[in-house]
Amino acid sequence: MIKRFLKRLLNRIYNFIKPFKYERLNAFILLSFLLVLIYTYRLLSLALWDGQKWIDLVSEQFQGKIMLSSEKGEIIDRNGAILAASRPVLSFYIRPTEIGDKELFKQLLLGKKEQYEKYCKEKKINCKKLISKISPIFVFKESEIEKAYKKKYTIVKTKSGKILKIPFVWLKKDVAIDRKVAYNAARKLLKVYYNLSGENAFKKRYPDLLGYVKEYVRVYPYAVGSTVVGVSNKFGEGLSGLEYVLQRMGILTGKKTCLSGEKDARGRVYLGNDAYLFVSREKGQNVQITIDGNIQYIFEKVVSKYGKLWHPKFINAVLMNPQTGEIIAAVSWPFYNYMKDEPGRSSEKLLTSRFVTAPYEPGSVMKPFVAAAAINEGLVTKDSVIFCPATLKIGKYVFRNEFHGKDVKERVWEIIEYSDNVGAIKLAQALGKKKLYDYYRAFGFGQKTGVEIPGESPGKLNDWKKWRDVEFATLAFGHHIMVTTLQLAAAYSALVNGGVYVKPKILKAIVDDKGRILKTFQVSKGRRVISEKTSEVMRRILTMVVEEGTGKPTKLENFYVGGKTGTAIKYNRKTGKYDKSRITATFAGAFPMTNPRYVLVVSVDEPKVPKNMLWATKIAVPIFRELAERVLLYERIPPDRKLYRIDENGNFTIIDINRDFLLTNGLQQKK
Amino acid sequence: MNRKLAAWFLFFLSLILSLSGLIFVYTGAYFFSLSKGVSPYLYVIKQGIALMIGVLLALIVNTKFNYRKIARKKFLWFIYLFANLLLISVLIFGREINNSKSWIVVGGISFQPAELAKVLVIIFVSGYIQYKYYQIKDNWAYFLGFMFLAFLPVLLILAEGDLGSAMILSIVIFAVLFITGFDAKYILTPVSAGAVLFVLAVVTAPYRLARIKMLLDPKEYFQTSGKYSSYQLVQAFVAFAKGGLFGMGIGQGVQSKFLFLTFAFSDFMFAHIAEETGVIGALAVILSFFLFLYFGLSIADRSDELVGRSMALGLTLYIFLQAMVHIGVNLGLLPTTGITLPFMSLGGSSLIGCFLAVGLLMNIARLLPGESKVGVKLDGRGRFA
Repeated sequence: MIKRFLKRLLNRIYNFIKPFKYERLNAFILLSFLLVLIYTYRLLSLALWDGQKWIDLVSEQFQGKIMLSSEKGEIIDRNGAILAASRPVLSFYIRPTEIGDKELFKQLLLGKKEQYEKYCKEKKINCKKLISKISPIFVFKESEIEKAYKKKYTIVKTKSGKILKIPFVWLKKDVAIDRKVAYNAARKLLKVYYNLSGENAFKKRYPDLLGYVKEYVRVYPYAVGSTVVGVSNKFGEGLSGLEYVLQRMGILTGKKTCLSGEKDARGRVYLGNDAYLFVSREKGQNVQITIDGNIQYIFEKVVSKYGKLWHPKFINAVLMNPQTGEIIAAVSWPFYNYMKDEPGRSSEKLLTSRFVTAPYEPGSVMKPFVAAAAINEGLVTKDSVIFCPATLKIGKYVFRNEFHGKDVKERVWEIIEYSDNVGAIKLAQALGKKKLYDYYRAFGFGQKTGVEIPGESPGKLNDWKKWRDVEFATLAFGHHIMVTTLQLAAAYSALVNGGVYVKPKILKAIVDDKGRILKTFQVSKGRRVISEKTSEVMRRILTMVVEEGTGKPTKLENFYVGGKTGTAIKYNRKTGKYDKSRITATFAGAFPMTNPRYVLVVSVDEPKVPKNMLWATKIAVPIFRELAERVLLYERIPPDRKLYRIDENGNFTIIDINRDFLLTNGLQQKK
Repeated sequence: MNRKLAAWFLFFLSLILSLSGLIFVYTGAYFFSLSKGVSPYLYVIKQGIALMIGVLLALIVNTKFNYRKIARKKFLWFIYLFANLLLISVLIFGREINNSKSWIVVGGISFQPAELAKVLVIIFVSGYIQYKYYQIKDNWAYFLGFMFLAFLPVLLILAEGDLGSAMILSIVIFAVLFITGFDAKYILTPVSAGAVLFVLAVVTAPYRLARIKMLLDPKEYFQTSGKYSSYQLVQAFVAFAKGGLFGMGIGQGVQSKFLFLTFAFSDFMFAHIAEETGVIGALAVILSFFLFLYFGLSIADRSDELVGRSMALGLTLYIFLQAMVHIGVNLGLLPTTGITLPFMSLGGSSLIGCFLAVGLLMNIARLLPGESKVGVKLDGRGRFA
């Protein structure tokens, strides 16, 4: 019943709404209506909710973006010499698959006169003039063109993993031609080609058969400072050193302007109307660093000389201004050579700035800090007499008084002068664990210095509560502690500059192209570690080390040089013992000592030398001496030890000055 | 619906469509003509002249002609001969313009005779059915003879390489047969035979298969270079997507501006309209063509004689199907065929042909026998409607 009723109802409704009297026409209109419904659904889905996918597909492969990687700024040294700069070059490409007459195109590229003359005859123009306009881009060799023809495509893998063949091949990269000249030349050449071959440029998908892209290559004119400045890859992205850091900070690259525009089927990008006018390609900012290119060059030369002589694992040398914390030169052998090496995996090791990344056990160079702490705390004075036995047993370990080899009475400054382990331990014990730890921390050990060089290591200094007695004893002469060369330099600066720790600093200022300073980098205020008086005492003690103690080879005729040697035998992880054949030799010092202007730390790791040479005195000190001499010579520092005078009569006199700077009341006989 | 109202509705609908078509031809072809190095107004002016000729032709056909006289026996054969001659002349003297060899150039004016021939074929078919109705209906031999006559021009169009037009014309012929009350077997047998042939043609020729595959997965074929790239299709999709609901504004379409949608003024006119006026404009276009179908079919519905009915149906369907195939291609529902959007796409011959059809439809409506003033008619089943 219900079925019948429904049938009748449907029939009535149909009869009511049916538009035509012919049933077959109704069928037509019904079918068409269905079709219209399907179309409407599809239209709505494409336009409203499904369309983004297609837009993405298009934009993924033809991104309508122009990345204006503006020219990178320069890195210049403290004197204004350019250490790293960007040079504009053009890279030419061709589209081999789009070229109909390859032979003709090749001849045009090579600058064959016959073809051009043919064209000129037809057009009745001056052939010489035409060739002279195109000739700047006759820089391609036949082999290069053949190679590009053979390659046909550039194969690119998209994000989704699809492999695309793009009709685009680099012909020659990094050609130094003016952009306007190249533009005119390429345009003229294409015009000649299209005319001679009879092809229609408008029918081609890519009519730019020959084109170029303006790029910047990073150049390093002085070729020094690779361990500090670092390198960039061919795209101009910084890979290491300051190139990397400054790019990350967004200083060197400036703002990367990304203009999104529409790209047409021929590959031209159109920007919105407003975008065009207001974009200026701003060059990145120039950064002045504290490195002195010339001193850096001296350092690199000297260090390489010794590196080739001894083949150590590394040689670090850091020259610092103790008053301001500016790093004037920093080198780590073996280093990257801008002239020879290529950036890449193989040169990664060469680019490591080991003076901040590689901590090591410093050895006796730590003793002055113990002495300074003890003096600063008022526990001893520099002249206090301390009894140092030949051997000192702590736990099951025996420490020896190696320099003297017998029980002696020494003054505090003599402990440093002769690098007496037992004396240092006694001073440390007088201080106590906590005080020693606090002073080490205050001098910056166990924490990053915060210098803007990537990959800095904090070194290693355990908390004092975890120290065993033996560890505490060895800490007094620089074992069980890991420091970097730069940390040592900063700590020595605090030791000699009047007792203020200043943060090492490499970035000086942002300057414009004319050298005017736009912004100076903030100098962090130093923190006082030891009193000025203690610092002055330490200067005199360190001078004595060079005058009469272990640093004697560094003694200069005209200058007071002060410093401390450190020979640390290395711990062998395999055997679990200290290996006497492997040492790290360090010399940390300052000059001229009456008013220190430079702090220099040299560390040499595992030099391969005969056994009798395995002392810092023989390894690090000669390097220090040579570097110090040359720096003093280069900077023309007035001598603080001798005064050279020519009086009115023309008599030449040499006067010793600052004699009382030296300490003289030693208890031990000088050898 | 009042037949006269329907006729004038039809006329004004087509006029509105063609006038708005002028705008979209201008915006769609602007950058294309610039890249070709011709004036951007050239195509619009040509289209405008064709529109004027078409409108005049439609009005003349409406007032001065009588469709029954056109469908007289002698005249019919003349029309048939003329249509075939036109098609053959294309095959012989045809010139290739814009990648299709369907143009004839006489005295500097180029036109596509096939567009006119198609309308003439429809006139012939509907007239011939009236004369030989019973013979064709009852006799296989006559039927086959009719099929041969009707499909000879279709084959000629096929020989030109215009598969899409040939398909549309065959569908129109079968639809005319269907509406005139032919037995289903007469229609289904050739249709199924045609379908089998079509499938065979697709399967055997790899390039046709590629086109179907391309339709199913346009993403995959986006990068393939050459004839079977879905590049244009995807660009049409992008045009729809960028248009959104309200469109980017007339003259603001990016896809045609930057030459992604190269044939925004012909093969991809619908996508172009959708980009510039959004879903609203596109729906208006679809609706307009559906209304066109409705008015055309109501004229066919009113006509009590065979020739009027089949002619009205054939001409309406001819225009409607073209539009539907064009839109289907644009929406990625049908394989790319190169069918233009009637009234709107660039193409003077096509416009004139379409207005000839409109004129005939109006003529049919005008000369129908008057409706009874009572307004009550018996419907097919004898009930009062």
